[in-house]
Amino acid sequence: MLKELSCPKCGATIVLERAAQEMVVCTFCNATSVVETSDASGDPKLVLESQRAEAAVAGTSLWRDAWRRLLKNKLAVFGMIVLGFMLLLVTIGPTIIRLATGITADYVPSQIEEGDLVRSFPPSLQHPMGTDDAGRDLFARVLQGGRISLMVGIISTLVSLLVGVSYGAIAGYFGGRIDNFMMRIVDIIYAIPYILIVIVLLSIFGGPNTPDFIAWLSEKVGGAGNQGLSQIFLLFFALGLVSWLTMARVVRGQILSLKNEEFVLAARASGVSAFGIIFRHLVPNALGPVIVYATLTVPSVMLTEAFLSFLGMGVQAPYASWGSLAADGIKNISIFPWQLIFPGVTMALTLFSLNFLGDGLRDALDPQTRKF
Amino acid sequence: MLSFILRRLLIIIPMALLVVSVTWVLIRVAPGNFYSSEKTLPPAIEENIRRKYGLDKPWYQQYGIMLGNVVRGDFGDSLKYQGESVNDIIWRHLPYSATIGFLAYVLALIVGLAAGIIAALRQNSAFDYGSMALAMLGLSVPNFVLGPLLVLVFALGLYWLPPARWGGPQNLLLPVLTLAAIYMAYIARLTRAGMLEIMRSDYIRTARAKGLNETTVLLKHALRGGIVPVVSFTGPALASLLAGTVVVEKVFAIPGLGNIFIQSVLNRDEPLILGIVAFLSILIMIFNLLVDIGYGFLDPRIRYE
Amino acid sequence: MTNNGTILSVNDLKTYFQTEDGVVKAVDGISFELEKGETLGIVGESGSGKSVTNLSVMRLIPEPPGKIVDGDIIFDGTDVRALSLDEMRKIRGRRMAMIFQDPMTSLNPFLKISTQLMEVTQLHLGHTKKQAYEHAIKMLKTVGIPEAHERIDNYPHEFSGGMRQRVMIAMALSCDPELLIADEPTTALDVTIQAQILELIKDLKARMGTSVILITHDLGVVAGMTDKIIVMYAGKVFEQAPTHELFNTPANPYTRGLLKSVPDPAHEEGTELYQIPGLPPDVAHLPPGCPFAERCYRAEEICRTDFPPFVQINENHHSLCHFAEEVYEDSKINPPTTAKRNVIEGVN
Repeated sequence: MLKELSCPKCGATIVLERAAQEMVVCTFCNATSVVETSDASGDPKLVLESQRAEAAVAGTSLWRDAWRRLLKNKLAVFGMIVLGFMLLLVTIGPTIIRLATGITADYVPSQIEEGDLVRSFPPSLQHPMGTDDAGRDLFARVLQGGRISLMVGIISTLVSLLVGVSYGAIAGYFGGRIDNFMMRIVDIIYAIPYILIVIVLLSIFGGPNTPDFIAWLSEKVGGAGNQGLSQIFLLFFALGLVSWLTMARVVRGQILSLKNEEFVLAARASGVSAFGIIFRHLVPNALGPVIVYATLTVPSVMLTEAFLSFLGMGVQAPYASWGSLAADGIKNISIFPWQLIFPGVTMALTLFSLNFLGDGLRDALDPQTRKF
Repeated sequence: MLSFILRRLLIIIPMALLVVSVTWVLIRVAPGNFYSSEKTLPPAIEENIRRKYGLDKPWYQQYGIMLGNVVRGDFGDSLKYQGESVNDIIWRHLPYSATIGFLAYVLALIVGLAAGIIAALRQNSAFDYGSMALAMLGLSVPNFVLGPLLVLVFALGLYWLPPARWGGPQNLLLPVLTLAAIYMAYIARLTRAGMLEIMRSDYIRTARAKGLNETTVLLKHALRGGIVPVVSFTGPALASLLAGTVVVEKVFAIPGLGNIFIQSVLNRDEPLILGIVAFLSILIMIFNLLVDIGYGFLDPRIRYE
Repeated sequence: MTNNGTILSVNDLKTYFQTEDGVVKAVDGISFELEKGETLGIVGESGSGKSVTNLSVMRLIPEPPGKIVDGDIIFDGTDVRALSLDEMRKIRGRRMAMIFQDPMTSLNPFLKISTQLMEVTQLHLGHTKKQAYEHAIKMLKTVGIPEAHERIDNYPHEFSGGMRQRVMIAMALSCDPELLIADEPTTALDVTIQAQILELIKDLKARMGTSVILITHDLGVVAGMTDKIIVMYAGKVFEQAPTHELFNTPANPYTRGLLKSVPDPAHEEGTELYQIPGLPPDVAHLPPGCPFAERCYRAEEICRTDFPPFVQINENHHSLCHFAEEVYEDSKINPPTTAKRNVIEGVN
């Protein structure tokens, strides 16, 4: 097992030749480093021998270190600020607009004048993003759509997290034939165009066949018989269920490299159950890559949702998402370009920020790729 | 090496059958069928149709027949496009998608590799930041937004290029660019990261200690190791090109396979779905095999047993 | 020993690294001279700055984060620091060459050995492909690789560690350089192979008249190889002396500690191996006094407060210590080990 790390002092590459190597000497600066695997990411990490004593005292400073590195990354900070702003905007924005101007996502201004052939107006002071085909305020609709888009992104990612982490951890921990079998299944699902799976999932469980708990969920949230809402809930699960494959692979790899560590052997020796070892000892140690990958899953799920909405299979009216708003805008691109540009740009900005944050998190949690 | 390729080729057949089987189950489990969306037919005609397509037989017989047909490479006729065989439909529409997909990937490779290498060499320079920000943008703008925007600017605004449809090379430019954007971005990022990793390694220091100039160090010593991640990305990339072509075909009104596929799923056109899924999964597996063989040429340490 | 002028002269070299923890003074005011045909040993624990010193000489410090901030490096009358990168490249591999610690990672795994050997002479000696190929085979034979004709077209992973290091040496010596820097050439190898590689370097040096700098953390390695030795600690030269004098009468407590900690086969069974207490200091946060004070058996209050002087014991012997004279006198009466002396006598 050749593992490449970088010297904590000068950044030169150091290769670990043996799995159980404890100490390495950097060829560039000759600093002796101690190999530590107690890191949250599960990857071996080099700590300067001279600093090791301090690190031991500082204890959980790894997460604090990662946080400090993250804050140093301007792009990641930019991403966090934009995301925070966006979250704030979509949660309280619609309420504020309604209270201040009376405009809602469904509001159609009454002052359409005689002789107006269309109801879609370009951006103005009253409607900063213009209005849509029906004359509804696009800004309010983009905020409303943002709620759905972000919710789809976050909840679907949580679903994929749940499935992927459990699946990968179980495959990795039990290894051997079970692992082989489980990973072949993953390979097969990889070979089926994911869009087919989503469409089939959506059509199996859509309409009258909505599973009880999804119906129950949407009834709790939006009242009985709300077809649009249960479609959204269905989307959460359908998207989550096609996005877990890579997560499972990532987690499996982590668990494979962790499961023979001494702390696992110790736990096993003291009679902890397989379930306990997997979820209390192994998964927390693989958290770094999981967080990084989850951050990057959010934008990819949002893109898929937008793609489905573009095909007319995603979020249904009366609900809207950034994807469905943009898809509506495409139809009128030559006459009312703002209908595409505003939802599209808002979405791109959000995805942009999410990607930067994901990148920053990876750099912060994985010093191997640290920049100098 | 030869036996490795043979074994991998042989594995493709059962894998493809498995994929087709899973797809078949998915289609059958889903409520409704092709006819439920068509106008209601007189019961007698429906009965005849059911008999013609073997729908009156028990499910395991139907499954057996379907599998037998797939093994022979004969998927029968489409339900929607009466009288046309699935194979004909695939071969007729494939060239459009293949042309766009191939050109887009080549473009993405050229631009992505070049940008990634230059960014890695001039780490933290204006070019590095600029190209990486652009790459991130490429990853963040959905292609169904990018496509129409390009049309808006270059076709409807500047009148430089035709907005849609199949035709001469000028018709290809916008769709290819739309499809290539995300792969370009990905490849640029992968190349940069790979090159940075390699440029830190011991053997690059050795190469410099020999007195080689930076260009030689880069092209002769670093490049091969640096592009390994790009090669491994090629497999998944080709698989996901499909979803991309669907969008591009829709936006630019191109009669490609992606659109046919989506239509077939929406129509529940079972033979067509199975045919396209089998075709695509075999294609993806062959590409993955080619990627693995490519590794062998790239990295002499890899042996095929 | 031939003594016909200085090949390398390093004067007050300072190479610093910018890290998250602040400036690391990896090399802080190193001076030494190397005569033509001589072998110099640079000894020190990890992090003492011995590798950085030599990477500075080759101008191979990764920049950033590293930088040569001060000092002169004069190679055969040329000021290395004043050279342009292109001029420097003409020297690297041609007139000064380097062997690295880890032969597993120092050869390019993607290229054939022949390619890696040939490019050096093609570049520096203007060899044609054919000449370069033949020269490469000759070099492989010189470093003792059996069936060089066939092995030359192999890839690095098809060689064992020792054989790879031989390839590295062949590569380094291809252009008959005037200076060979061997940076821990045997650390990554098995003990039996270590001796072979050292023997090879010694032999080639004698035949080709190359000047050698041998970097190691193992005093046992330099004993039979070098004419003089520099002992480094925390980026500073702690002691500098001809090899036999350093082994017999060290004038620095740190050198004495190092000598005592070399495992000695002649030593009586059952005696515990000596170890210098404590760890090397964090070079980013050095104390004002002697950096070794915390670990030193002789340390007094002055060692913690005042930086020690570089005391000249005799013409060729210097030591960085407040009590250099005293330690030197002590070593005369009470040499670190008797066994070591035997090793030295066997050589010089």
